[in-house]
Amino acid sequence: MTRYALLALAAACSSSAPRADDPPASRLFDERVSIPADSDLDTEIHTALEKKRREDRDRALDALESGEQLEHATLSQLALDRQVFTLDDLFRVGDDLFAYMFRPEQGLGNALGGHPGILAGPLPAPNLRRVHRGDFGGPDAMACADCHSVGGDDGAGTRTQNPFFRGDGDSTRGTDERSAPALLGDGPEERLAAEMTDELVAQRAAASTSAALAGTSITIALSAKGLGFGSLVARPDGTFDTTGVTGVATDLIVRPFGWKGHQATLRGIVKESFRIHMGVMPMSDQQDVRDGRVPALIYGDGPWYDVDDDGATIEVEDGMVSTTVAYLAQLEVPIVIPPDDPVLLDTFARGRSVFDEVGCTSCHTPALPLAAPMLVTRAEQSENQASPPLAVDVARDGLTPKIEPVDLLGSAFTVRLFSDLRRHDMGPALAAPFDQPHAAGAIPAAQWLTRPLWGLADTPPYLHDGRAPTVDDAIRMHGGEGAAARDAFVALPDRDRAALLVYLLSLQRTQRVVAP
Amino acid sequence: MRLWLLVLVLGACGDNRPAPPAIPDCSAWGPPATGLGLDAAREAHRRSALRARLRYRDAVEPGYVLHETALAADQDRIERGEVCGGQLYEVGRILFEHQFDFSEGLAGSDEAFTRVQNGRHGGPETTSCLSCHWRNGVGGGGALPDAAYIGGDGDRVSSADARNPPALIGSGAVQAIAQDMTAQLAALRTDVIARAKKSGALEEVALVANGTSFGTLYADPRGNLRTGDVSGVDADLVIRPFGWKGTAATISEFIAEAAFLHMGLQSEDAALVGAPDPLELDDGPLDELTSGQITALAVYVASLETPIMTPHVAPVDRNDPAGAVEPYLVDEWARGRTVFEEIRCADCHTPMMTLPSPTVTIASPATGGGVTIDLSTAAEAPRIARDVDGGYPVFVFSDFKRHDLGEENASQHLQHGLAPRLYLTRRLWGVGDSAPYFYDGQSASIEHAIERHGGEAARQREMWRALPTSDRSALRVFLTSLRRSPRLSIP
Repeated sequence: MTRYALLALAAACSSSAPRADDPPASRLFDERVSIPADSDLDTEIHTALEKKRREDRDRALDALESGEQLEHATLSQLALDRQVFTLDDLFRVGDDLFAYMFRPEQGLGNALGGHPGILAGPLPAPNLRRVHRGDFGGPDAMACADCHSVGGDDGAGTRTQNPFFRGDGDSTRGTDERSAPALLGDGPEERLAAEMTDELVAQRAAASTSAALAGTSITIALSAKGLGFGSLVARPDGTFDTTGVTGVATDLIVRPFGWKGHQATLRGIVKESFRIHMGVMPMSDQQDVRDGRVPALIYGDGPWYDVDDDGATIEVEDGMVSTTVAYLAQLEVPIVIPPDDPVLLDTFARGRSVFDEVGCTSCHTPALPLAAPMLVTRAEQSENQASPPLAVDVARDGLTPKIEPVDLLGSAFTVRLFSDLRRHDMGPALAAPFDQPHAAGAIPAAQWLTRPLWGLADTPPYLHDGRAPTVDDAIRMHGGEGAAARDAFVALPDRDRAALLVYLLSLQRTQRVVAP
Repeated sequence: MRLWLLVLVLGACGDNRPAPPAIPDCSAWGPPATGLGLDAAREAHRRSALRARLRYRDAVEPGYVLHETALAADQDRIERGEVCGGQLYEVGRILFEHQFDFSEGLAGSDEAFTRVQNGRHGGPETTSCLSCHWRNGVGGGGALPDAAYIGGDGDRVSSADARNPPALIGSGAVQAIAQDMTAQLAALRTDVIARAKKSGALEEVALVANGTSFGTLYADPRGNLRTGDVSGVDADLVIRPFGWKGTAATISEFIAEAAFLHMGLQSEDAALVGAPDPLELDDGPLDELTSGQITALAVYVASLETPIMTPHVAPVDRNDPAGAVEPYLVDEWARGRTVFEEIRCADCHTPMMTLPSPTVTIASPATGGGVTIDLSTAAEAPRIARDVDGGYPVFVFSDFKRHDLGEENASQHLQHGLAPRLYLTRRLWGVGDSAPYFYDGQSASIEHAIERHGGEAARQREMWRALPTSDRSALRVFLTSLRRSPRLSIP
């Protein structure tokens, strides 16, 4: 029946097709794209093969003697303390550790199945489970790379890789679902947040001093890097009224990691991820148990040195955490890669203006200045208190491209992250099922940290739980403080809406070959 | 369906695009460059740049990729031989990586994802094929978190059976082997029926295909079959090599079903392979994927590289992807290959099967018509190759038969009516690159996977446990050497 309709219409438009009922030629095969020069490809291949060769050798040795691979992906704090390893070394080892798939004998998971009063699942070791229970976690993965692969190494997660946080250990409905974010640019983000925190804390201190001197309460407007964070009342007695504070926790610490902004440092998010996603216990967390800094039984009821009771005592020690942080801090940053097709390039230019016009930039601040690019991470275990800190220059060390210096002196840098690093109310439709518990005060269900947009094109699906397959969907799902910009987007002429999408899809990571 | 075609035709009138020539020039559509050289790097960049380009096109003209791939892979033209195999591969590759959107049929009308599948309605859980088939490159397996939860209640993980996304490489040869074995079994069946009719008595035949025994089949003089003693294959004697339990006979069937279950993409083909009636789902038309698009996807998957077996290597030389051999590992490797036989792994994981012909036909479940691919010339390298003895040896490490893996591995639900403890012998080729292991992906290492063998394989597990440490190492070295050939790509 449809065939007849087709025939009639095809005849009506007097096509010169060889067969009257054939569809027209696809435009798919007319695309011409540009490819880097051979000399650049040579370099890329060299780097890719170097890594592949290392991985293959480690894998072969591991086959021969189980455990070799993890050994090669591990540097102890003791080894780091000797300060003979370069940041390149740390990058390589961290790269291997990131991809390493932990095994039960190395501490993957726990042996807490059925232990009363513990929020672990009911299964025998390694007792993995897909849905988290309370704050205990899963564990739901075996490797960092299990959930950070979209668009390449250290990328985002797919829709299927979403963790289900704070559930009952089984039911997916009503859990706090999250999409794994891409990790490129995390180093500069940590540094930006730290500088913003410093600014806010200094303003608070100054206000407190003034209030004490004046003998009366003083109200100040909080701002960091030119962005407002509401207001603060400093009382003469040294206390504060923080009810006017917006976009940040009342302790004024800007936390750039996690969809709601709940971790201030890479070290924090790395340790948390090892523990709740893989069940490999950081030794410093176990020492917190030993020293009573965390509630008893929160991580398990084993002895403090094997709190998850799985027989592996030193699962993740300080050196492994530091190596992972050094690795992540040295990753490249995503960049704008304009289309290489002239018509699309013209559309891209229009899109850049539309991005401003519809008000996206009121939260997705295109760039923030960074003064001090040195990211410092410190060992935490009690025996490592004298260990020298590890410093990574996020503007220089590791993979390129890097954040750009604003002048020849390199006195400051521009971070093109497309975020204000503030929390915003995104409306009820995007709200989590409940407030997120946090030591600095629960983060309201509807509040989310402005997601940095750099690298956007390579990280679908979008939004905190990956509910939006495309950028267009993601924009249309904005509510709350993003509702006005969303409405402006929806009201745009088709041409301008397309232009904005083209612009956003130019936010990419550098494309280079790997040999996975 | 009608609207869709109308749009197609109006499009044709509007932009006056000519139909493609009936006899295409396929000289530019040879197999893609793979490996570690400059050609492979150029091809990786071409694919990456095209991916970015098509994202832009979709932004400017929503639905562009689906529309243009449907035009390029028109099932009628495919069946008339008017589309190059290389073009179908490219279209399939683009679709494999395409991020589907709600407006393109992703999910149901509620635009909702369901992580734990809801009975036979499936998820959907995700937005692209690549989403779960990514490890060590496009067409690989999935990680632990990627598991599908099938047959569940749409909510609780414990209500469902977890399934790790398997690696897809080598699928073309797998379908070809299965179809060859099915033909062998069918011939035995025809023969036993003829004998029974002739002798007037109950006749029996031992069902053996490619050396795998599938029990005994009886035929009575009226031509009726008794299949009670048939084992490891369905009563229709069709070898179904795809799915952990062996539930699909062809790549096309598997793709149609997977696209429906995991993404909610409906097709005539999916309806034919047993997906629920779309009317139950209150969703759009039956051509969210056309038969031609499913054929293109199947051509792509069938043309993926063949896994390799090689002593442990490092890709030292870009012109020699197999790389230099570590001399001390060669002995270990050879010992491991022997241990594999000694502890009887090879009883089920049959190392090698021989294909009489290098071709595989990708037929559409909806139309029955299809396209034939020569896996020895047109697929991605490494390809199957002709042996001096004539056939095409495939080191697949499976007997293509279902076995009882013991109560400890019983699934909760009957999938396609199969007994809970039955699983198809997993093909071990590529196993070095497809961790985590087992049907649920719960085994982080090869040892853990071996330790979970029960039922018919319990004896092998005991022999593994009894091995001296050096032999265990050797076996690990051997199994780790079953891998993907190294290649350049841009994820």
